[in-house]
Amino acid sequence: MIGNTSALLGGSVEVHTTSNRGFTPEEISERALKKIISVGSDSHPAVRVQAEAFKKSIKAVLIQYMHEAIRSHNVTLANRFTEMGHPELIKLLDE
Amino acid sequence: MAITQAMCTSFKTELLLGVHRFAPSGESAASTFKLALYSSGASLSAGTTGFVAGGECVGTNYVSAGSALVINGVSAGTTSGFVDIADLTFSNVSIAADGALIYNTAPHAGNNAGATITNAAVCVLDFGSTKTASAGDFTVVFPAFTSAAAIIRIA
Repeated sequence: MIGNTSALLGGSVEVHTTSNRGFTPEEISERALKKIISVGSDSHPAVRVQAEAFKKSIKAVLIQYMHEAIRSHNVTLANRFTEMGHPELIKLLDE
Repeated sequence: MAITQAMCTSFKTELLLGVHRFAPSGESAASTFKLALYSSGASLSAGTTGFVAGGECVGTNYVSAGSALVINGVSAGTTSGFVDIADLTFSNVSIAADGALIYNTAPHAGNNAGATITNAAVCVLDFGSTKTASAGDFTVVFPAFTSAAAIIRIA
């Protein structure tokens, strides 16, 4: 027999929801950051400060590129709307 | 009726029978796992052995039996193994849910008696309260992929 071995359900899931909109790049980047950088609660204070600073800079990069992706996707959508004969819908993308 | 968070007991036995394979989604050996949402009227616990329709959520753009999860694979800690599951978003839904069931739609083997298992349960998730999305996104965010926090791990 192998002792102290167990199948475990680990940390809890979180549920994030929105109403009448999708998530913003800022909200999604928060989620992404938690997957990219994890700072242990018992980390040395100096390491913790450094990690938090790194987290902040990564967040800014994530947000910038997510906005860029949205803008780029909107260009694709605008072209699709035009191709399908509905150029008037393009203005919705700017709102 | 209640939703009690647990790793299903049948899942523990099925792991030993090679029923569940958490290889990265898309790999030929991978099982297909789905996550279904439930309201407070559902009865889910460690004793749940497979997908159940009773108490499942009904809402705009939510498809019965839930959506497929993306499994990123399995890693090892110092003395543990754990599964990386990507967050799952139900897009543009109007729905209220209190919990979820993760289950395997493509089990790889049968039980001890060789009988085929269908939609084998993995674990029950309790959201702690009713979570609502209205014409919006409903995202189940899994904990960090670490040996201490990953949602499914053997320590």
